[in-house]
Parts: sequence; structure tokens; C-alpha cells
Amino acid sequence: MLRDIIFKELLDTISSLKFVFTFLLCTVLVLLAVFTGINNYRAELREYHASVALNRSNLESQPNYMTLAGYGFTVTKTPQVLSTIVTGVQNAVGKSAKVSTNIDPGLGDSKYSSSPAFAIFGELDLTFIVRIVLSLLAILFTFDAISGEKEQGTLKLALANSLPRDRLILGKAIGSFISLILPLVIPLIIALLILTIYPDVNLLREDWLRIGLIFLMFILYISVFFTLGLFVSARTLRSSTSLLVLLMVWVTFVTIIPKAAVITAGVISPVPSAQEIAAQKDAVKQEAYMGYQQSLNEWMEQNRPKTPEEGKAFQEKFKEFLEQSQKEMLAYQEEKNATIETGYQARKKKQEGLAFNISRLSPASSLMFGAMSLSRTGINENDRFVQSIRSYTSVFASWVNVKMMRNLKLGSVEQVKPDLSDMPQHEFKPENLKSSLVRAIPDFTILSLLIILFFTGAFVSFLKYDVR
Amino acid sequence: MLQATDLTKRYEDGLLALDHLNLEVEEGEIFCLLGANGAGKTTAINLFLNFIDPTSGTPLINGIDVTKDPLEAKKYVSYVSENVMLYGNFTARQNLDFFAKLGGKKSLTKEDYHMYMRKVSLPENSFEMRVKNYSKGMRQKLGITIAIIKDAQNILLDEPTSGLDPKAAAEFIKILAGLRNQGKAILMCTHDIFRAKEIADRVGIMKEGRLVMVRTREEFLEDNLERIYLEYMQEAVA
Amino acid sequence: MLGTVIKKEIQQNLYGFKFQAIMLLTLVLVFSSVFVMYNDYNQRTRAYEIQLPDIANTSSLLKPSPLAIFNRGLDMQLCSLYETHRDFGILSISNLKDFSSELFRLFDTPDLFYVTWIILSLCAMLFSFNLVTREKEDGTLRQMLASSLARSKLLAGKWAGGFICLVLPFTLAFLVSLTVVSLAPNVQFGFQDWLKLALFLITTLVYLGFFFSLGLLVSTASRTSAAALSVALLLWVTLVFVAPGLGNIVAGKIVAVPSHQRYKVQSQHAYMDQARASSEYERSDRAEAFDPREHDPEKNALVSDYRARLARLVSLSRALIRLSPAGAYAFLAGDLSNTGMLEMLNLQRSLLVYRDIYLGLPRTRSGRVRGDYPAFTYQRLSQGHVLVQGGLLNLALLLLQTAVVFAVSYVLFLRYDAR
Repeated sequence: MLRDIIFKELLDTISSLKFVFTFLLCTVLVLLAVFTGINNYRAELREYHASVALNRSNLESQPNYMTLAGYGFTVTKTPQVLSTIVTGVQNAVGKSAKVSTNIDPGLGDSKYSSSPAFAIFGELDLTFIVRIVLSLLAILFTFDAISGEKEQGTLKLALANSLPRDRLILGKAIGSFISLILPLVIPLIIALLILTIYPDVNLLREDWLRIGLIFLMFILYISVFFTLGLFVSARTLRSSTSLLVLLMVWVTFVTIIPKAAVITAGVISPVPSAQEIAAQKDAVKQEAYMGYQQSLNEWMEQNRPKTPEEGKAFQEKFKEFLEQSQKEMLAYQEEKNATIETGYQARKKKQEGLAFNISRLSPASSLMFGAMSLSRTGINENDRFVQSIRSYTSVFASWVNVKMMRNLKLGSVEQVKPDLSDMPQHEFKPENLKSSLVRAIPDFTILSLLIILFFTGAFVSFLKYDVR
Repeated sequence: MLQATDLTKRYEDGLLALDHLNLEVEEGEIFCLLGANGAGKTTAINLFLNFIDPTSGTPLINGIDVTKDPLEAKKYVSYVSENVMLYGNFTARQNLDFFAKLGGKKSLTKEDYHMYMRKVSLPENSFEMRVKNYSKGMRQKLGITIAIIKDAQNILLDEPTSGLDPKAAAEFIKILAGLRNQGKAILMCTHDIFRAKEIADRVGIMKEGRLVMVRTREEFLEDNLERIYLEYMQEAVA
Repeated sequence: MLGTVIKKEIQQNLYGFKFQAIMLLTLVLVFSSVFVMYNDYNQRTRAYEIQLPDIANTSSLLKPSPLAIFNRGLDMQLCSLYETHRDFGILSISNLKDFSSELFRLFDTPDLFYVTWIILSLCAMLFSFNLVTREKEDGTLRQMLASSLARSKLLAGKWAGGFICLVLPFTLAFLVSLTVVSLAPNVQFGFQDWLKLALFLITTLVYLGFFFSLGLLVSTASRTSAAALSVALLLWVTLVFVAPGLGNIVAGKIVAVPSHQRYKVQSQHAYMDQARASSEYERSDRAEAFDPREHDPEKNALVSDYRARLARLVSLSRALIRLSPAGAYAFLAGDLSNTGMLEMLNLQRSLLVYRDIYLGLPRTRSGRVRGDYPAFTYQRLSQGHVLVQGGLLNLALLLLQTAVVFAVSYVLFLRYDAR
């Protein structure tokens, strides 16, 4: 009997207009999104190689170690192959960082700053299609699952038989789920095949595992809306009511909660603006300089030469003292700035964490975060890259300082062309699968819990549903 | 056999939909339940089908208490609803196939279904036609076909001839008579006094939830059924 | 008769769950979005005031536009610091990005524009997708047509009644929040701003009118509400989400823009060359002052080629995206709030013009500017400018599309099978 119900459900949906439309739309959108993703990735790969080459020639054209230290050079992040599926934040936050001894590393060159149209309209990647379009389609498939059959009169006809209600709802759920998944999975598989065809797109074994996990997340996400549709349909007597409620919930989940979360986090856990931090650092600089001036004056008072003989010794001591004071002043500044910076970063992290967690009330956010973790295109990977640049900058700074000191001793700073053969290289290891998976576990859990919650709700509601 | 013992249904808002109904429909008998809209006829059927729970009293199908063992009880009853809509995207045969399987008949062939449809005088070219293109009369016939296929001993019908033209209604009644002659117990709720007079073995009139009158065929043929009915209805209005 | 139909439509809606739900949603969203964006405006204004005293008068630091409360658009980019270096006219963008913007970019800005653009357009379609099919299924359509009521009047009445119910809550909410905001301490709306806001309201109503009419069209082309719903939802998704994105993609395919990285590095090289030339010049013994225009990095072939191509890409994108009503509305609404691409392009142009003037000023031998120089000033576009530079075209496109859609639904309804 269960099998009969499943088959009936499958057949009923497949022979309907909405199935055909859905299949068409899904195929078109999924393929479009993947093509776009591949094109963007290949373009980025080209840009990456171009920038690496340009950077090399830039390095080689530096006349001396001082300019090398001062102007520095650019390190570009390697494009992530899974950005073909999940765009993530990389377009917003930029891909390259400047390394030099006098610049605080941070990413620049975001796509949005050069193409503001994308900032307005957003990216049309596969995750977007799943998040917005497919969830809506899931609702379309289930909003009248129960209420529609009741309105049709077939529900009571079926229950006039020796058919337990739990079997009926189970059969309907399985049948319509299969008929919903088919138009989604088939284009996804085609998309995967396309990915393998393109020469530039190299997928390692780990990438395939990640893709599998991302697709699993897609299916879980769609199932959330599927079970939600069943639930609401089993609680309302009219399909039009069910539809309206579901669309309101959809709007709330997909657009309202994510935004509200960011705002709420900003209110609960505010972070000083970048201008304020800069002002604080400026104040520290002033303070340090004033302290330096003061100690200089004091020292001058104490150690003023009283006789011409003491003059020469004085010069020496003065030079020493100057060097020492300057070192102390810089050390003081660095220490204070480091405290300010770590405090600022900590507050940023706190607010960010809070925003993400509140946002996870919506399955759409869980999908985004999970997909970004698994594809290594999220903020976390971003931060790791900036961190690696920071550590590299100090390594680079000490290397270049040593070189400069050495040339200083020889007394010929201007003419020496930098020898790049032993320059430390920047290395960045993208996050491994285990760590990505661990970070994505809360998102998997939330989606699964929602599915269980909604299906249980649908199940229980249907047992008491008024079929008349 | 269908049996209602002191069957009562009172809703949460206080409405007394059914008031101590006592009714028995024997095998090989058609019992027509007449009454105004809201008199409680459909409520009685809903109680027999376990769509709602009675406030008190017991509905029995073949001696099985419907409230205690609904799944077992429903094996022995077929149901034809007022507006048989079915699955519009499916053909007639596909609809029959699904409901036949639910009713326990799992191994019927296409030819079997065609035979059943011929029995109820559905035109040949409609067998594989989508039900959404069926007329009302055709759909009602399909509804009774489902009951015929299930071959349960008891049949419940809710306004089966409403909206049918005289020819279709006459054909339907003929089919019912045939089923009665096979020994089925049939309970039919209807407004259609004309058809009731034609086919019923017994007639009951319901008013405001109560079964106020029961007459056998001989009794109401002697008397004027229309007059009796209207008298009771006028009382209801007054 | 027309009045009767309209009145019936309004009453039917008022008692319906659908209207109440949508009205509630509209009120909540309009008020909360304005509230949130007002706070954002306050924050940005405060940051602006902190920065302002330290800024050279050759730089551009725009005050946040109060209209950004309703449509933030590109206001954050517009209000970034753009510096023209005092000595050599180096144009650089130092943008101390505020942190929360990163998160927002993940999920878009929750301003009023977003509410109308995405959510209310969906509501508009939900309002109208079953206007005709529902009445047919209920049987009341036959009833109405059995009277001496012309089909054209019936359709017009349904359109008018439904549309009034759709936009009345929104308009009231918008006007109320507008009034409240204008009374707030640090928000000053000039006369021009009021005009722009009025135009914004009108544009939004036309946009919602388009989707409402589209829903009606779907209804007149379907026999059942279920079919109408599927088609309506799919159309909405395509027009609002897919079409604008497609425009960008297609434009990107047609106009090839060379790598941005290349451009940046080349630009840096050009500036370094200029710096080198000027220090050489300083060491040499020439009498005249160093003329920065001779080694102008902006005139560098690759740099100006890049800029030209980017301009072509942007204008092609705009031309393609505006064909979809969501795109036309986004552009028009953005431009009217002075936070759109038009404003961005205008600012960039003004910066380049100012830079050229600045470079042409008389200089001392070491390259510094002699005497006084003008400060950089910028005035956001007036609505007249906005309308002339494509705004009217966008509005006309929206109106035309609405008219076409309504006309088609009219024709279809005349032949609609009411049985």
C-alpha cells in the first residue's frame, strides 16, 4: 500500500504542468550558474597568473633594498576552484594584499570596487540558485500536498479505506520528495560533468569530496522547505492560506532573518569604526612622541656638556641615546598599537560570531555558511590568508632589514640591487577538509534538525487532520 | 450490516449535529436518509467513516466498532462522496487502479478495469481519458465503480445523484439496485425524493440531528411521501 | 458599474486573509527598514564628522545622503575618501572600510528599496495571480458576466480595486516613516530632496503596478489558480533575480576588459615613474618648474584604455539590465536617491576634471603648487539631471512594459472562457 501511494504521488506530480516548468527552469538556471562560475574562475586564474608575473617583474625592477622594503610587493590569493559553485565573500573582500614594511596588511582590490553593478545585483552562482529559486520551488511542490487533496475530495476517498494515516502521509512525503528532487539532481549531475570537461578546472580527490558534501547540503536545504511545506499544508484547510503562510515564512527565512541578525549583533555587541581605531592609534603616536621629546629634553638637561672636552664624548653618548630612545618609542608604539589592534579584532570577531549565530535561525544562512566553509570561500579562509600575510610580513621585514643593515655596513646603500634568490617566499596552505567539515557541522546539524522538526510536525498534524 | 446505536455528535461550539441516532441497515437493503441541509445526514456518514469521533454512542460496521478498530471496519465499507473529483491529471483507469489497490484489490488488469467501466455504461473512449475532462455524471459513475471494485458488503453514499441529468441519475439508480440485489447494505443520503421513492426499501427523515420518522416501502408508497416530507420540513422552518 | 466592481474588489480584499497578511508584512518591513537605515545613516554621518577636519581640501569626502535612508545603493562607495595628492595629483582611493559592510554584502542592504524591489513585487504578484482564475473557480465570474457588465470594465475594476488595496498600506507606511525621519535632528530634506522622494514613490508605484499587471496577465492566461501560481512564481524569480544578473554576464562577454590587476600594477608603475622623473628633475638644473602633465600616469595608454573599456562595460551592462523591470527600477530608484551608478560615474568624472585643473596650476621649481588653489567641491545630481540622463528612459520603459502587459491581459480576458 505504501508503494502504491508513492507511485501515485510520483505519477501525479510528473504529469503536472508545474513539474515540467520546474525541470526546465532548474536545468536552465543550474547550467547558467555553473557556466558563469567556470568563466569567472578561469578569468580569475588568468588574472592571478598575470598578477604573479607582473609582481615578479616589479620585484626585479626595484633598484635597492630600501625601495623594496618601502614599496613592497603584492601577494595574490590563489583562486579557489570551488568558487565555481560557491562564490562566497571573495568578490566583496578582494584577493590581493600588499606586503611592505610600513603598511598594515589587509586585502584590497575587491571586484565590487571596480564593478559596482555587481554590488547592487549580487552574484548569480549555484548557491544563489539553490538558496532562492529551489527553495521557492520546494514550496510550490508542497503547499497543497494535504490541503489540496482535501479540497479535491480525494483525501477522504482514500481514507474511506483501510489505510492508516501514517502510511498515507509517509507515502505522500516520499513520492513528492522524489518528484521534487529529480529536476534538481539531474541538472546538478550534468553540471558536475561539465566541470570535469573544462581543462582549467582541476578537481582533486578532496575537491570531489567537498563537492559531494556541498551537494548534500543543497539537498538538506531544499528538504527543509519541503518538510515545511508539508507541515503548513497539514495545518491549514485551504491551499491558498497555506501558500500565503509559506511565502511569508520564505521571505522571513531568506531575506529578513539574515539582515536582522547583522543589525541585532551590531546593537548587542558594537564595534568601534575604523576611523575611531585610526584616531586611537594616532593618539598613541602623539603620546609616544611627546614622551620621547620629554625624555630628550630631560637627558639634555642632565648631560649638557660643560667643557669642550666633554663635547665629543657628548656627541657619542647623544647618538647612542637617540638611537635608544627612538627604539623605545617605536617599541612603545608597536606594543600599544598591537593591544588596540588585538582588542579591535577580538570585538570584530565577537560581533561577527554573534551575527552568524543569530543568522543561523534561518536555514538560508546555514546553507551559505556551510557551503562557504566547505568550498573555502568564506570569511574564515579570508582571515587565515590575512593572518598568513601578517606573519609573512614580519619574516620579510626582518630579512629585508638584515639585508639593509649589511649594505649599510659596506657603506653603499644606493647602488646595490636586491638579490632575490634567498628572499623568503609566501606560502599559504588552504584549509584541510577535516577542519572545513568541523566548521560546517553546526550548519548540517541545524538543517537536519529543522527537517526532523517540520516533518514531525507534519506527521502529527496529519494524524488529526480534518478530512471532510 | 450498518448499525448506529445512540450515535451523538456535539461540536465544541455547542452545536448538536446528531442526536441519539438509532439506525440499522440490513444486507440487501437500501436505506435512504432524507432531510434538509444541516440536518445531520453527512455527519452520520462521517461518523461511520471515522472522519470524526462521536460524542457518545457507537457506529458499527458488520458488528465492528468503528471508533475502536477503524482500519478493520473500513475493510467492509465503500464510500461515494457528493462531488467525486478524483485526480484530474490521471485517466479514469489510473484513478480506479489507485483506489482499487487501496481497497485491497491489487492484481486487476487493464481489461478488468475496462470491464467494470463498461458495466456502469461509461463510453469506451473515456476509459483512457483524463478525469479532468469528465462530466459530472461520468465522475459519479466512476465513483460508484470504485465501490463496485472494492466489493465491500456495505456502501455509503452522500448525495450521489445531485446535479445529474435524469438519464444519468436513472442509470446510477439502476446500478444501485443491482448492488442491493447482490446483498449489499446501502445507506444513501439524498434530497432527491423522486429517486428515493424509486429505489428505497426504507426511508428515514432527519430533522435537526434527530431521526424523526422511518417508513418502509409499502408504508410510504401508500401515503404521499412528498407531503410527509414537506410537513416535517415546514415544522422545521416554523 | 465600474465603481461597483471596484468597491466589491476592495471589500473582498479587506476581509481576506491575504490582504491582512500582506498589509502586516508591508508595515513591519517598511518601518523596520527605515529605522535600521536611519541608524546606519547616523553612524556614517558621525564617522564623516570625525574624519572631516583632517581632510585636505583637495580630497573628496562626501557627506552621506539622507536619501540613502531609503535607498543606500552605492552611498558607502560614494562617501569614501578620494584623495588628490597635494603635490603631484595622484588620484588614489583610501577607503577605511567599515567592518559591518562585509557582512552586509553577504546578504544585501535591508533598505526600503530592497523591500519594494524584492518583497513587495512578490506580494504584488501574489495579489493578482488568481484575480480571474479564482472567480472562475468560484463560479462568480459567470455570475458577473451574466449581467450587462462589459468585460473591459470588469477587468479595469478588478485591476483598480486590487491595486489600491496593494499600494495603500505601503504608501501610508512610506509617508509616515518619511515624515518621522524628516523631523529627526540631523536629517535635512531640501526642496530637491522632497521632489526626489516624490518621484521615488511614483516610480515604486509604477514598478509594483508592473508586477500586479503581470500577475493579472498570468491569471487571464490560465484556467486554474494552481497553474497561474506556478507560472507567476517562476516569472517573478526570473524577472527579479535572473534577468539583472544575466545582463551583467552578457555585457561581460561582449566587452572585454583587461585584467584589473594588470591595470593596478601598471598604474602603480606609472606613478613610480612620475615620482622618479620629478626627483631627477629636481636634481637637474632646469629653470622651469616640473610639469606633472608631461608624465601624467592617467594619460598612460594602458590606464586610459582600461578606464575607457570599463566605461563601455558599465554602459552596456546598464543598457541590458534596464530592459528588465527590476533593473530599470533599481537604476531609477538609485539615481533618484543620489546613490546610484550615475552618481558614482559623475563623481569619478568630477574628480578627474578637478585633477586636470589642479595639474595645470602654476608650480614652483620643485613641483609644488604656487599660491592658492581651488578646493574640490561636489554637488549631488539634481532630479532634473537624473531624469535627463536616462531616468526618464527607465521610467518610460517601466510604464511601457506595464502598459503592454495590461494590454495583453485585456485581450486575453476578452476571450477568456468563463465556464
